[in-house]
Amino acid sequence: MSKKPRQNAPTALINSTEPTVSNPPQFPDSNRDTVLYARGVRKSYGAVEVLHGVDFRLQAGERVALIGPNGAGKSTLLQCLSGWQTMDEGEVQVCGSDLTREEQKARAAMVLIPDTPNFYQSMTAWDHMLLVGRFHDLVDVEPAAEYLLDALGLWSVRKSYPSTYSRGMKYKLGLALGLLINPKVILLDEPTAALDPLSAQVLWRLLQEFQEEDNGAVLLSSHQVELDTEGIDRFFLLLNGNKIGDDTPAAWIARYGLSTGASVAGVFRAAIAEFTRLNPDIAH
Amino acid sequence: MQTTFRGMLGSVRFVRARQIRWTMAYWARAFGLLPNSGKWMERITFVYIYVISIALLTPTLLSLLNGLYVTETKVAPAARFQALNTTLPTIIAVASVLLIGLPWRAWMLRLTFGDMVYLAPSPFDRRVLVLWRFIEVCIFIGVIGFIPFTLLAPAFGSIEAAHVLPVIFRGITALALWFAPMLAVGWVISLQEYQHDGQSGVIRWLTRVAFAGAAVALFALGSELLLWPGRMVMAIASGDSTVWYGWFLLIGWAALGGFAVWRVGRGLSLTRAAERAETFARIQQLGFMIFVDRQLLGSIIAETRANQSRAVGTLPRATGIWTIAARAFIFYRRQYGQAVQLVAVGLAFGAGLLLFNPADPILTIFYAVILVVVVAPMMARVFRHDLDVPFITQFNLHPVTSQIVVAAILPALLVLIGVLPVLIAFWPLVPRGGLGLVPAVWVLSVFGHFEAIGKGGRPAARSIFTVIMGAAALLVLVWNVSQVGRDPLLAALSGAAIAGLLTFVLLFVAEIRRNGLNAAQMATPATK
Repeated sequence: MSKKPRQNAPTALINSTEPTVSNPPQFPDSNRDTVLYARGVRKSYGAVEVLHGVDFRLQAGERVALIGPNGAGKSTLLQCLSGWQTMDEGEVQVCGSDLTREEQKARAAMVLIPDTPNFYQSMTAWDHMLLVGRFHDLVDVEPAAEYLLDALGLWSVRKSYPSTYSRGMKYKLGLALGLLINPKVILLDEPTAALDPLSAQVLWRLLQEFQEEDNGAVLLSSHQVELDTEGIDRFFLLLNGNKIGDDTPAAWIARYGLSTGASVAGVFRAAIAEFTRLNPDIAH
Repeated sequence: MQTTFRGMLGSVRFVRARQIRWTMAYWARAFGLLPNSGKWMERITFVYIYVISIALLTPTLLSLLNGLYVTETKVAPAARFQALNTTLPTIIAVASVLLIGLPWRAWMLRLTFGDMVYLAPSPFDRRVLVLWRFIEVCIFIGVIGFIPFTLLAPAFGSIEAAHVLPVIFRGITALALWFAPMLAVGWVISLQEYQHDGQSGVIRWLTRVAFAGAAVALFALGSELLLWPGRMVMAIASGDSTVWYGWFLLIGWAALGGFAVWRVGRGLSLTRAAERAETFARIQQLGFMIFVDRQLLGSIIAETRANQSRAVGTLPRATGIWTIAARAFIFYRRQYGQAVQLVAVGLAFGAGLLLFNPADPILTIFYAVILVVVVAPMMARVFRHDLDVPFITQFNLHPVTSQIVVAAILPALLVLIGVLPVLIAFWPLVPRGGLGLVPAVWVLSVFGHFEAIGKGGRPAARSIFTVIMGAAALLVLVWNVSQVGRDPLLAALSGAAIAGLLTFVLLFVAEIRRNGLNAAQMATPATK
């Protein structure tokens, strides 16, 4: 493919082929701005409460992994934080704007990419890039869109309908759309589940650039991360809709007395054991 | 290995039996029988209700049929013959052309996902599958022919009701036999796409154009040749002994058609057939959901058609809120069938205006409800579908009221494209104040979009409340027409003013529906 000049494109990304080694985790960092703040988020489906008053804070330039066993409420929490689902109780602020009362201002600063994004009918990938860019009145949408689609390996299929894409391609297109508008916060639901190893590498690279160049914050839910995964500042553990903790890998290891190099599964086991011990009635 | 003919037949029978079971379950559900519920008493009760209903309706239907038969026999035989001779052969000729043409867009080999898994590795001869389905369709056509021949039987010369049965059976058999070779031609062309060595798209399209051209030429010539098959079917149905050769001809052609389909089936690729049947398989997979969510069904079909075609054009250049209009434009450009539907709705609306009589309140309310129930959602189809895609919708930060107004423009214009030529062409027939109802097109469009807005921006389910609200909005326009004088300009202007007022009300309620009462009382969120 002929490479067109790319305006708006982060130049460091073009030449970078490997993820850069992250700095040591920094938390809490009082010098950073809080871009996402949630307090007492409760959500029920009928009689079943799936989120029991969850508190959360994310600062600019941070990358936090939301972890928890299946059914812990991770996707629901992401959807409540992004305003896709209404909370029963609680408060969410994005860059200082209340998600309920100043919804559009709050949503303008945040994007959620679900595990399988859906797209508009009869619109190609390229059309979607233009549409989203123009919704946000971006200037020079085309070069930025071209850069992102090229980086994610979608340039050659940009004129195809996303409904013909595989799940991984759909996720990459979702990511391209999310990054195009340069938000303050990106929420990613299972970002690597559908991606091949090379694409996953590109994803981490793009997120790294997003954090370093734009001071963007990332909250991702994933089963594919480990305590030693590069670039993740904190691990937020959710269990049965309860916040168990929000710590650096070292803090988790210290909290449960795990050996160095312990896995996320080890943290799960210890957390579940502790939770069962402390809450014998609701643990079942 | 099922290599014997008997074995192959068994395979097809197995596949079809599963599909028939599914179809029966489908219709059982449609009539409320819920075959999987396990509640036998419930099923028996439903069957009982249907039996009683049919038993009560049957005498009425027979009485109606008898009245029709009496009327038909009172018509002079010459007039009867003349009426049949000019109508039926033409209908049969048109149907023949359609049977050649329709298979091009149909999923001829209906395979479910289960069938695909079962059949793909199966070694049996594909010809059996094709021929079996072909015969099924021919029999189905005969069954459809039962209704017109039942209604027209005495017109063929049977005076007594008891004598109509031979007419009916001769008629439907002859019809099915004639249509078999016509259908075979359509199948032979269409099956080229399913061949292992499939024809190129250009050849396929050239074949289609050639057939369409031949059909047009035949019609243009008004050829007796085109009407001859229908006349032969009529003669056979009426038991005319002068066409003794008719049965031989029809059976011979039908056999020839079957043979042609059998021959073409030899090169059938099940992989290709499975690809083409995927839409049917997806619809079949939905099961009961296709009753609940018609929009889902429509979106599967639309998606399949879109995927099969190349994307035409690109998103028109627009910024900000107008991007919504650009999105609607590209949708209607690529799915032009939907645009044509809206223009056709406009034509019907225009015709309705010519016949409109505000003095009849029952009919007026009926029209209003039909427009609100049927037309408004059609106009808001794109918008409603888009709302159901929160991932993209999250990028659209414009106030919901602006979104409704901008999204309503293009559908309203498409309907007006249909309305205006009718009004211009039949201007002298436009009733007093009729122009005052043209703004109803805009109100309908805004209403359809308003109705799609649910809490938090997700699409709302339709409710009786909104239907009443929409019908009431249209009745306000009708009331206005009944109040203004004969001046068309005054009617149009007052209609437009009322439409503007109704738009304002609908937008206000939309804001409440989306954000709750408190949000509507505040300034729009974008300005805060």
